[in-house]
Amino acid sequence: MTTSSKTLDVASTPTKVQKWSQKAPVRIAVVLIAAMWSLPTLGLLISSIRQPNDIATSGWWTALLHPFEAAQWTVTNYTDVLGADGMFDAFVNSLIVTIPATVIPITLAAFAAYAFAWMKFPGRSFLFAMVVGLLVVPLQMTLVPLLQLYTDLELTGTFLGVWLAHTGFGLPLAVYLLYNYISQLPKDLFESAHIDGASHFTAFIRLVMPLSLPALASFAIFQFLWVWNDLLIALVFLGTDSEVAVVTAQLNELVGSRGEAWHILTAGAFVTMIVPVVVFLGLQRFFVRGLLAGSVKG
Amino acid sequence: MTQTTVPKAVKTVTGGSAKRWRVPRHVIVFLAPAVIIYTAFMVYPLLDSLRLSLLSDEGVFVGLENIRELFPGGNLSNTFFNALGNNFMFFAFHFFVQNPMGLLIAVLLTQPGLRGQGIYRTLIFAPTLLSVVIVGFIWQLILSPLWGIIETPLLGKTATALPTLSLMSVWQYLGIPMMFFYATLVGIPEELLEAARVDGASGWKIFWKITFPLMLPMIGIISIITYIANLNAFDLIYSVQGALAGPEFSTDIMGTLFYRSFFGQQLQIGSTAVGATVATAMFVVILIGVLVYLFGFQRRVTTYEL
Amino acid sequence: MASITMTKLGKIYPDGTRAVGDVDLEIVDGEFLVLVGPSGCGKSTILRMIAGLEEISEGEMYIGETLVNDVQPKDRDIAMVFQNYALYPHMTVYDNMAFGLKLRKMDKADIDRRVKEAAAVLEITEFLDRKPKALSGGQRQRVAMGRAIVREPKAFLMDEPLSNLDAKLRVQMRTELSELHHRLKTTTVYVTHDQIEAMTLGHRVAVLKPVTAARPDNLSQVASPGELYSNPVNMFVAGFIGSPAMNMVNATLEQDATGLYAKFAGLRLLVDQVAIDRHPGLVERLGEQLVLGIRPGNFEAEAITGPAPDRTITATVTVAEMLGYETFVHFELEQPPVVTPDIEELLADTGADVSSLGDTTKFTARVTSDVPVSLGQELTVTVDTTKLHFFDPATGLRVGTAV
Repeated sequence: MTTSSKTLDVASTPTKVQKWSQKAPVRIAVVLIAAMWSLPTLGLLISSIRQPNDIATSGWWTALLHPFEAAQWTVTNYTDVLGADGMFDAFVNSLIVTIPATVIPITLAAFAAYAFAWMKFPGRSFLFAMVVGLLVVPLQMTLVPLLQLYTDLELTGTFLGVWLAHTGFGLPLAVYLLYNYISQLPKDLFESAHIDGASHFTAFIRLVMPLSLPALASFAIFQFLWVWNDLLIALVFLGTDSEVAVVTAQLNELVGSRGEAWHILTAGAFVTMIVPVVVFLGLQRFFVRGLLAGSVKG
Repeated sequence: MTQTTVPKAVKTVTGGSAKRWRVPRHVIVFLAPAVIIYTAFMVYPLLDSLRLSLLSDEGVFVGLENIRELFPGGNLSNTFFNALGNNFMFFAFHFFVQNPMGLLIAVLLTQPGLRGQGIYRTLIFAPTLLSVVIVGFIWQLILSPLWGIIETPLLGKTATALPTLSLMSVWQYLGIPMMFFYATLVGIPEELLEAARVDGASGWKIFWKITFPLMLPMIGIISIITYIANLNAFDLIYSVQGALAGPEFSTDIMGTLFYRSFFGQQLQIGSTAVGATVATAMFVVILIGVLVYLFGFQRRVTTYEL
Repeated sequence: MASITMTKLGKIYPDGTRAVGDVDLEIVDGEFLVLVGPSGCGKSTILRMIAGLEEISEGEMYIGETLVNDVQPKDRDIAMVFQNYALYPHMTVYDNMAFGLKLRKMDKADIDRRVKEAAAVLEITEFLDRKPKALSGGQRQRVAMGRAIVREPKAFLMDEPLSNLDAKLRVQMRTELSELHHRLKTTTVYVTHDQIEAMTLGHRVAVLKPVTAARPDNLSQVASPGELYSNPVNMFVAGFIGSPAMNMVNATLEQDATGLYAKFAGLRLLVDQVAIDRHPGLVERLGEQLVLGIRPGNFEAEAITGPAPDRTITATVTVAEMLGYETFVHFELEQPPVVTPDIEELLADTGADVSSLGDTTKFTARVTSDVPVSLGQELTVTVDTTKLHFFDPATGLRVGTAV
């Protein structure tokens, strides 16, 4: 083994320090950005435990300057929220609206997606193109006639009306996402099922649904978040009557109150935020998969 | 069994029950609910809106009269083009700020040796989970002219209101393009980048010559989705500035214009005709953008199997 | 063109697992050296350390006379061919091959000349303006090779380049690779888990074993294919190289007036002097339990060779595989199988474990097809007793090797 003098090639030898300093800017940048993206929400949290008077008169960061002054903190906002002004009812209403408005479109879309993916029938491509193509249509275009239709059918202000509305609007995307996933299931699976004597329906229930869980779950997240956080449809089809108002509509009313009810708003906002966050965290792993499901083979 | 009388090959699995149906029963069962609702909520309204835009409020056919109002010379022209311009400005902020930032962050997050990237990702993505009402409120707490970090009432001045709202929206939705870009970046095989390193490329070169070209399809998709979503926007502006989209309509976009036109507010009665017309205009603008994308971009950029 | 030398090379991952330990290897300029071994033996890791894609934890790496431990891949002047080819999907074949040269700011005319020459050699000239996805696996493989050739590097590093090809194509590419190396004479380090590729392509072959807690070094043996075949230094190399694998059985040595015998399963074989000479100190191991190894190729049917007293085994055929020119005959000896750490490692590579061995020792013999062989038949085979191998069951080393 020759161990005599070897020249050290200095061409581009990163020393240990150099390597570290290459990583540091990245880390700093990312931390800064993550901070900028979480501080505002943190501010909301801090506001929600401040005295009602303080909220509308000083910035929440001032409270941090003297964090141990106990008098400025309070949990009354939260206790108020639960009793106050229909917030609790709004919360329940939101659930009543969101859950069916998620389950129904997924179910219908799954059936339709399966039909598009694995059944042959005349006009299949055209129908599919139409379904997906109309993704481009703005919500507003459908509102006018729908409202008239609803008024005629006396569906305005009813939960059924909103469920149908959300289902209708959510279908194109749902069908598209689920179609992409279901069409990529291996053909052999269905062929062997058919040889075994399964009808399309059986194949659907027993094979497709269980196997499509990731796609179903990721669309469920999208739809749930979209419906829960929606304002426009809730305003138009449901209205702000306390009996049926959902959380977003209710919060919107409070924001407009210009400060008197902001303490309710802070706590209320935070409480309602929990639901989407929990849903997201719970189904997170399906989320990235869902994001890619529709796009890469685009 | 396939019936010889049915023109297209139709496989009925349970055997021969198709008879003279052009479409077998099970297809109908599977498709019907979705198609019915879809027709009722998408197709019918779309066609009806188009129809309504050709009528006056009383239902009298006026042809292209309503649409002419939107063009220069018409009563609504200034309002409409103001809203259109604002909408494009709104879009510009997202296209030039949100998406490149999303790309940049996604790249930063894929740097080797960065720990805790899952946490950073979640934190940056978190605002997308919020309702716009909450987002508007969060920023009002910070930007309030009374106690906020900046004394000038950004949301109250015509020059700054729209940019501020745009940036608020960017803040909220940055996580989405970031996630998409991140997922795409992660999908690029490590071997490709290693081959580039061995071939002699360093950091930047690898990004511009290898990574970026491979990401173009996704960048295209995100761009057109951004376009559609922004031209559809309504919630944030409505929640923060109200239907009047003040100050002085400086934050008026097509969504708010529509809402105001259709439902009316204190100074203006709602008009079905105007509402439908504005909605139709929205549709056309979006459609043009999508077509430009499909034929100008999508055609040229192939998605690569990685 | 350069030599590659590594001394005491080691790799430990941040979480503490060791992939490579104590590897000393001197690759001569112009040599075709194969790194072979089961999965997880560290062969790819070593290759990547040569390339600079993995950081070297221990030891030194020299390319030519230069210490390259901290040198970036792009400055090491090496070219790599990846298992999945790693062709840039958005570039044409021409651009793929020209990429590295353009980065080095080479003159356009020179780039063009080199690319066209390499394309001609690899017979891919007609594909130059196509994109990778329009090519078949074999064609892509050639493009990957072309990309490496145009660089005219100090060494080629190849990471299982033929594994993704179908069997026939693999055989064809093997010979082409050989010809290519003969023509270009560039130092080549080639990683594979296929021992046939290793034996046919390499000037020398380095057999590697996965690192274990008990034995933190990987390199079993580096030698020419012939040497590895005839004189494997331990049971691992013996069982890994050669297909079908070497037969092994527990045996004891016995001496009587007529000579030295290996006793096992109620049989005995007379050990030829040639074999005794190949294992210094064999005679001192009388009475000890040793492992006897016989390659399937060192058998022949007695019907062909004629009678050979004390050098035959008679057994019942359990499986007979006719290959046309020869037959693989499988039979069992009534004796528990050999189980040592090396054997376990060899088994692990195929996904099996000790329980699959059963409780008899299974043997395979290659005999010419001139002798009809059928299932259940009693067959007598003659052993070439000059080619017997003896190993120490405790260390796995061949008897007579210094520890």
